[in-house]
Amino acid sequence: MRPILMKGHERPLTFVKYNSDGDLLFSMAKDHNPTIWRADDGTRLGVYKGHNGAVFTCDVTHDSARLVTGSADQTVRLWDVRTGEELHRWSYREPARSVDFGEGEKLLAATTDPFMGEPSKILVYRLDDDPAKLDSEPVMSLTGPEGRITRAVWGPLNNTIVSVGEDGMLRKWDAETGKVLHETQAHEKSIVCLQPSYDGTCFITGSHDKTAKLFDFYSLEELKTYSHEKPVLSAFVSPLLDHVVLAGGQDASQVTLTSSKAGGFESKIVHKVYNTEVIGTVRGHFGPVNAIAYSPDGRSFVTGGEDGYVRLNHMDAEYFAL
Amino acid sequence: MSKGSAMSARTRWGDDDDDLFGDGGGHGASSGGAVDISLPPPQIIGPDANGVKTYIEYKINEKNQKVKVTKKVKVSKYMRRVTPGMVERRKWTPFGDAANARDQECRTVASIEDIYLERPRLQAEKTELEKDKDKLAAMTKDSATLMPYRSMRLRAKYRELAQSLGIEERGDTMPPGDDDGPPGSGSMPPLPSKGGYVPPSLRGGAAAAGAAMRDRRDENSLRVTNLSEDCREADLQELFRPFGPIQRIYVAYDRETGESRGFAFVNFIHHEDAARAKEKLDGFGYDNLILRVDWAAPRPERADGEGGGGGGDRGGPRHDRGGGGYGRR
Amino acid sequence: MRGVGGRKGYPPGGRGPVVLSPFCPSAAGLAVRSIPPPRNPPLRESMASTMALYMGVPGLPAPVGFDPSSCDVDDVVLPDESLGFDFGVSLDESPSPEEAQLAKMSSTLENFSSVVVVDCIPVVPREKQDKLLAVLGKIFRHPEIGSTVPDGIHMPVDANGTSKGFAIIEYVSPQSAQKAVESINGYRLDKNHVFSVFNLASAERLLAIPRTYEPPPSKPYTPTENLFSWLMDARGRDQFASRYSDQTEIFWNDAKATGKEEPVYQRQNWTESFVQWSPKGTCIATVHRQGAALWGGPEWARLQRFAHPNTRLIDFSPDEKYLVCFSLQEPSHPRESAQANLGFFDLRTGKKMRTFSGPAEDYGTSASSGVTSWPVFRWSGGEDRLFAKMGKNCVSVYECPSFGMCTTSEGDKKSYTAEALSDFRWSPSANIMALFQKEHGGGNAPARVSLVEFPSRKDIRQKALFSVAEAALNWHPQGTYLGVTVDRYTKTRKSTYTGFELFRVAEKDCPMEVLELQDKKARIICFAWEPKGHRFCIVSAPSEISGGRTTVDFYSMLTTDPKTGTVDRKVKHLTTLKSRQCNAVYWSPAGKHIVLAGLKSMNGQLEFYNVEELESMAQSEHFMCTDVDWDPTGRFISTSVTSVHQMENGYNLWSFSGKMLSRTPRDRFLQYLWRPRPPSLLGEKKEAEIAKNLKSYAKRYEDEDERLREKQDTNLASHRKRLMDEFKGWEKRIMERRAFEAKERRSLRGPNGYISDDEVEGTIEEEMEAEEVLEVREEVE
Repeated sequence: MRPILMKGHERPLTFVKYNSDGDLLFSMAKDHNPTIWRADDGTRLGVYKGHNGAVFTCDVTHDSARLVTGSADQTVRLWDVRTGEELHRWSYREPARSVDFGEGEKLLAATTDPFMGEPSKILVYRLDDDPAKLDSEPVMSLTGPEGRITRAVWGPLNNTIVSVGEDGMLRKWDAETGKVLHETQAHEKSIVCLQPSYDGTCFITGSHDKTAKLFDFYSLEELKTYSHEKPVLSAFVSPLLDHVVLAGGQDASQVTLTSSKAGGFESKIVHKVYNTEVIGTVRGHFGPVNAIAYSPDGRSFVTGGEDGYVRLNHMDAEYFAL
Repeated sequence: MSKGSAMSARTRWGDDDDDLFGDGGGHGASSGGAVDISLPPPQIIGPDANGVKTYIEYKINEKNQKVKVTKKVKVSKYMRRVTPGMVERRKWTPFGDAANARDQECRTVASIEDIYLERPRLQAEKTELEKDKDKLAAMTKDSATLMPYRSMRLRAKYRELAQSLGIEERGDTMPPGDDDGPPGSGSMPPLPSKGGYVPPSLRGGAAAAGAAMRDRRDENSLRVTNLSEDCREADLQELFRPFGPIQRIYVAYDRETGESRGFAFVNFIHHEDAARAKEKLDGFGYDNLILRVDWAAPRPERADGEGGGGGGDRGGPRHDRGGGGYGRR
Repeated sequence: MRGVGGRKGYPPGGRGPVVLSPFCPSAAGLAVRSIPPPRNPPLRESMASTMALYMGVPGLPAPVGFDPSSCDVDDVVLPDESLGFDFGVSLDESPSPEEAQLAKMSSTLENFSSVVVVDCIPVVPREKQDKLLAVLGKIFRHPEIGSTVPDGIHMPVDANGTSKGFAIIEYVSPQSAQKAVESINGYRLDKNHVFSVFNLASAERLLAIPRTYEPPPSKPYTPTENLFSWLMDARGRDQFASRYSDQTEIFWNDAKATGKEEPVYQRQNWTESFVQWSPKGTCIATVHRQGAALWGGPEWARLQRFAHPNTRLIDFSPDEKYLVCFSLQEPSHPRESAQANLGFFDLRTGKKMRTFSGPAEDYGTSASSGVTSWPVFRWSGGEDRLFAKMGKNCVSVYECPSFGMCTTSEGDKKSYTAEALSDFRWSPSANIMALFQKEHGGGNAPARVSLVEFPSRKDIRQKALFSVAEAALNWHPQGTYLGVTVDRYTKTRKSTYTGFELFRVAEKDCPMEVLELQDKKARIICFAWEPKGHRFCIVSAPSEISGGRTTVDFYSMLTTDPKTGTVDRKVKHLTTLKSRQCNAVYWSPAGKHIVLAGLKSMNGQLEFYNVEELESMAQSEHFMCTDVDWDPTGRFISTSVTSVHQMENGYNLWSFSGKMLSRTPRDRFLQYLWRPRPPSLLGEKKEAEIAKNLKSYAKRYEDEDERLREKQDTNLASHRKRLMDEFKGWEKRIMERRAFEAKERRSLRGPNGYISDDEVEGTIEEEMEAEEVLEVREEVE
């Protein structure tokens, strides 16, 4: 296949996300500019200007009308997807690390990093279609663990919030009371990614301990473990085939002594059920791969790398026969 | 590749993108960008009853020979759901920075080369082995080489040899579990054994393979400047390795401080790889500096005498093998 | 017998003999020590005579400050003990504290356990006795054994003053006496005298032997470990040991059939520094602070332990009879040199046969730079094992099992002198040593290569070499040939060029040939003989600048004309491979195949070459590999990246033809060692017969492999089925739950939101095309 290379970011990518229909692609990077692209041919559709720091996270509503982003500039901002207009801003004293719309997009969960003595927090907001009526105050604020929370997502039916952090712990919070319902030491090292599957049944986590794990979204039962040669920076579950894709590389700060062969700048597709069988690898990035996502139809996947490139891989027919 | 049916009329839409941006052609061996008037026009035949489409293209290779490239593809159709929302969004216009028509900062290009889903180890290595076998075969000066070419003579020979040593050469067969796997358990069917993917470095044909091996080093040598001080050979390895096997990297160091003087020479084995690397990495932002990559001017090589056999001691003694090795440590 | 100390003779059964000995301070300067009589049965004859002799005393050294000549011993009268004078000697009743102390010391005498008797020392006249005593003193007062009591060595002499051929030595502690017995017993002073040392206390045991013979109780037979069980593997697999971080693992290499390795044994912290197989693969040695240990057999039981503190390096004798341990003792003063300690142990019993110790420089090491060349003692290849060490201008050759130096024809134990000796190498198959002496005598004596047979020291062959700067000796692994790489000065003596002197050692008179490379100025990187063959390989860096590429040449010492069958015994050039990335070569142990490797700066290039057909089989790469090892049969090759490099540690397994079979990354990888095999028990004829009928043998093994693979496939299939069923079960449960929740989900999405997960009104279907490349053909027109 011939991947489409999209160079629009000057700095490393942090996160990529498809919209629900799979025709739009959102990329977040350290260059302050969340960008929207067309997913079929990779043409750039727009840039959301406004952030003053690296953008780590985003989520988009089901109707692809609203985009929410979180950034190191200590704000979470809501945008109009089509026009690029900033609709609302929530400000903090700490960098915002993760954002997630709840089911129905009436709720927003955002997390902030521990900073200047403040612990990490999960903040829940009630949303309204009318931007003017948006509340800047959270309906609930949960204090997280000492370490950084790298991602927090809504559980099924918005009853719970699931979070992962640098302490390798996986926690389930009650969305009503804010109590921790369940916590496990899911990984030995920092968990840097958590991606729910499109069908909402499970999620996959990626960690610096060179493994990715598949969990049941309800029970938090660990279903599978996929091992990798390098720290896993991002992972995704295919909606179409029994595959998961892992991507990673040395932690960006440690890339000095490796060759590209050893740096693992490739994405690895592994069988979801036969977790030790590798389907194949796709190379191409000149640096560690920080973000990866399958399209909702499972026919392509996009990767964002430390090298600032976004690569869109439409899989060939051969892939679907596997 | 999946794209709207409207686009299927074009032969290689990746090349078209190049034209859109006005970069012109000349990206390595397999590009069709620079159209030579004397070349016959490309043709598309089919799809035939089996759904096989044939693309025929002409290009000039390094030796200034006209090469006819025939590519057979199997076209399959699938249905894609298009929601009203998608239809609506197709009408959207760019905004923000994207609104600048010829925004130099952003480029969307289809990759010139094919990226393959590399199958796990044995498959990948097999391709390496075949590459070499093909190179050897190529040196027998066949003018019309069929890709991929398998040396029957060599294979038979090695099979015999392997038999004589009691090893079964698995040769072309797949690793256990991938081959005619146990039926009905969702195993993977084998890759099409004839045809199938061809590593780019072999695409240039026998002539290119031969030429590559006979290239003079200077032609494959790139000079990289504007490197950061703590840039090391290994960093350049990782940066240039994706383009192809590297023969040698030389980083200029300051004798006193031990830092890099900011430039280095990278020698590729194949000229095409060097050309691609130059094209891709010239102007590439690396470690907060913009790299400059040029062809190196021919210069006398330093004698690189790295002698001594064998690696160092790793916790165990290396006995002086009286019979082998030169013995000087 | 005249008794000293005033008593004429001694009453039988009385107080016992008295002996003059400056042991106990006493007023008169005379000390009296009484030796209580031995206990129960009467002493045996030799004992009695020994004791009598001890009492006899004439040769006993005089007490301090006492001049024997000044008094007539007979006139010395001791007060009667019955009067109560005890001279401060410990007696049976109420000793004072000091006396108690002395009593304790002397009570050891009661058991004689700190006294040893050494027999079979030379019989020497009076003049030589002092010298002999000095020699005995040096031996018996060795720091490792212990110190004797002052004047504790007593050598009785007979009436003529000639020594009687034995001596009695009293140590301060019984442990010292024990050590003396252990280490000096059997010591060969010279050709005719082997010391026999025994502890006096053991005399008691001898006396306790009952008069009638009772057969000893029979111990039930416990079979020891079968050390050769691994050779009986039905599939003829080889084992290898791999070491990474603190784990040591031993695997079967099953790369051929299953593509995987089968673990045999695994142990964490099995060794403190490294492991080493014995040369025939019987056992594996691990090294610890206290010494070395041997493990073997199917259960890897500990076979033996060797005490040698701070062992740094070990070496096996080729026949696996002995183990040499080397340790280096750091000097306590900066100006002192480090002490090197080498211990030779019998492999089976663990007994220390001999030690060598001395300043580190004597043993080819220095504390700062470590061992320059190990093994320091090189073993010969012949049947009777000899080992030799290079000294300054000489070679010291020792023999087993006596561990003494080989004697010259005159019977002297001397090293073999060789002026300006630079290097020596034993032939791997015979007791022939090749020596290289540099130019000496201020240029008068040219450099010389000689072949000497030991222990006869017969010169088999000598060759003078002129204008030589340096040379290296390379024996063929089977001892058939010797190759000498000679760097000669050019006429201007400013640069060197290299040539080769090739000796056909197996033939009569060792005929020699000279070989020079076509490119005179090329620098030789590597020279290697083909095992079990007649070829050799030279890797050189050509004089023209080549960007780090090297040239590989193959030659043969013996070529057979296929048509006429005549054998041409001349060095013949076979082929040259130009412009290769190779700086080390690894021949297969069976010959015929070779791996040309570019290590270090060439980052792990590998070329698999068939020398029989003069064809390259494959070219590949193991990025950054540091070691290349053939398995003992020549079927597989392992390339590994050890922890010299931080990244990419691990090992790859290849078939002999260059096909990669497996890749195993392992962090902090340290060692990969194939288990050696003992030499084949088949004779040459049988081997040739098998090679001829290989097809019929091969078929059987191929069938077996096929069956194994099938079995593996079905195993894999059932495993996968199980996994999939399990997962599908989970999926079903989850989807049921989601279906149950669907209604609630929809309500969450609100009236404006999307109705369900899938269908959206107004959706149309669009046709898309996907292309799959079948074939690409290029033709030049």
